[in-house]
Amino acid sequence: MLSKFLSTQDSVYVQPRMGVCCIDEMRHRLLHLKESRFPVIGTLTIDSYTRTRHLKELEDALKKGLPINGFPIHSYPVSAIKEKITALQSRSFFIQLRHGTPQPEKLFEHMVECGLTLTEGGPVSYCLPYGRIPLKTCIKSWETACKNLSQAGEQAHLESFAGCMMGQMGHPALLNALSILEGLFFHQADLEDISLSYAQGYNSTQDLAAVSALKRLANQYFPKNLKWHIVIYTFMGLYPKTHEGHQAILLESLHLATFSKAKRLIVKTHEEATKIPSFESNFEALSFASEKQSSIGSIPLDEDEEEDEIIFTQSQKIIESVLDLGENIGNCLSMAFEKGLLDVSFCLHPDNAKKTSTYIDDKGYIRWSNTGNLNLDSIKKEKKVCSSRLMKDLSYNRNRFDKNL
Amino acid sequence: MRNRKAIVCTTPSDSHTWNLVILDLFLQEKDFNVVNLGSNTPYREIIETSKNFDPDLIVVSSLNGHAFQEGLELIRQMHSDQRMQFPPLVIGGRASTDPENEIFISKKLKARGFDETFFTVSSLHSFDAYLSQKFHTPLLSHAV
Repeated sequence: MLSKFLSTQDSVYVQPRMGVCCIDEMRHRLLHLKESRFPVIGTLTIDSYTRTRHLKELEDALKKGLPINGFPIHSYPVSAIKEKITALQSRSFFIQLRHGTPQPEKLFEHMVECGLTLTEGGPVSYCLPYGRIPLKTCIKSWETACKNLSQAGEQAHLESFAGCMMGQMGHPALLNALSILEGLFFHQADLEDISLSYAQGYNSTQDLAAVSALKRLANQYFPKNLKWHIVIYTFMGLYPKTHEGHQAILLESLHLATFSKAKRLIVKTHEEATKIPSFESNFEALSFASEKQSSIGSIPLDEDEEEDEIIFTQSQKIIESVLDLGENIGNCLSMAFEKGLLDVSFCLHPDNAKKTSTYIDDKGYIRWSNTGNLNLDSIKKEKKVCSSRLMKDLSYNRNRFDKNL
Repeated sequence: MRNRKAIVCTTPSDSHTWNLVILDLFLQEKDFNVVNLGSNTPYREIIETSKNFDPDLIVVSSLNGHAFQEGLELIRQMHSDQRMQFPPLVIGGRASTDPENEIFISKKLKARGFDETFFTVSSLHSFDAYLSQKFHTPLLSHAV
């Protein structure tokens, strides 16, 4: 339903990351968003104890009154959640559960019971960047989790986090390939409404090319009955420290979302560099992103069709090499990582091949320095990554947006 | 002269990885063979890898504020494993949001068995100097 609804909307729907322990406060914040004039999607972010399934420690922390950094969805009765949170949903106000859980079977079962049907993640995107749970285990978990979510029927919606792997330095071709593969995985596990993410990089012309390529890939690989839309994320790496720098990078991500005709934008706040954002800073970012939408369309954004084609072709080659491995997408993913046909640059997970690497060039484009075992022979490079260069690249956007101010 | 060997790791609660990626590359540039144990490193994994790999140095990088408790626990588990002698351990990153607290934590960790700590802003620079002194590796001029 989310994709269908958004397809009727002209605005880019803005969305925060947001989760607090107290159910009344959580309701208050969601209601505030719902009653604002923004085109907005509500978010319910769960806490880290719930995420890691340390429910005993959560109980202890709650008893001691220790700070909990999100919504402890298992700690309230289903009836309370339905009454105070789920009841806020309407035909035009959606609530997405955000979590970061590598094994979400029980979480998805519980959320559907509570009447919440939108969430995010993926067998690869929520396994590799965090912790050390074997990929095979995550894939099995997500097969079950997706089937649990699909019980919500046409209300069920799952967003793939694959466009955001590691937060930065991901090559667009690899990120796009992972997005398509996770999408196909979701579909094979009975889901019919999904979204694909893309995180803002270092040059919005390259980002625009990447999103354009992603849409073409989705049209090519997804069956007609799979509904989908694109969600852009404001930069997730080392964030500008100044308020002006934050507004500038947020504006650039809005520019990208508008020109690429993405349907949602997950925003960052000016507090991102130093702490967990307050509701005020979130509201400010949402307000800014809503208000600037009409004027941003009049500012041109350069296109690079050649880069679009390059990214599209590379993604295709990667996807094909994975799909060639069999019928079951989960098995394909597992085998592909074993063979290095999928390889997330700078990801230290034990199941990642760790042979590929990237760098940022003079224009701010992400480029391959090493393509490892990826099916990209024609552009194989073997440049060794230098630690000082990588440190500089990691700070690229912070420097770009803070330095002029 | 054979290449030196190092283990790069963090503590069980810490999910940060860019610090481990940078340290891995940094040590390789100083001609270390590096085993990188990745995020959320279990104590046993550090201990078992050390036994098998026989490194010249174990480098623990901690950014989530748990360096004190978890650094101490690592040392405790190592010392209680009587089957071998362990190589020098160093720990760095960010131990606290309070700089005075970091000084206190550094002192305690060194007293318990860490060879050196690198919790200051210019920690990579200090680490570079430490490696130079201990292993006679050339100083990398770009270390800031």
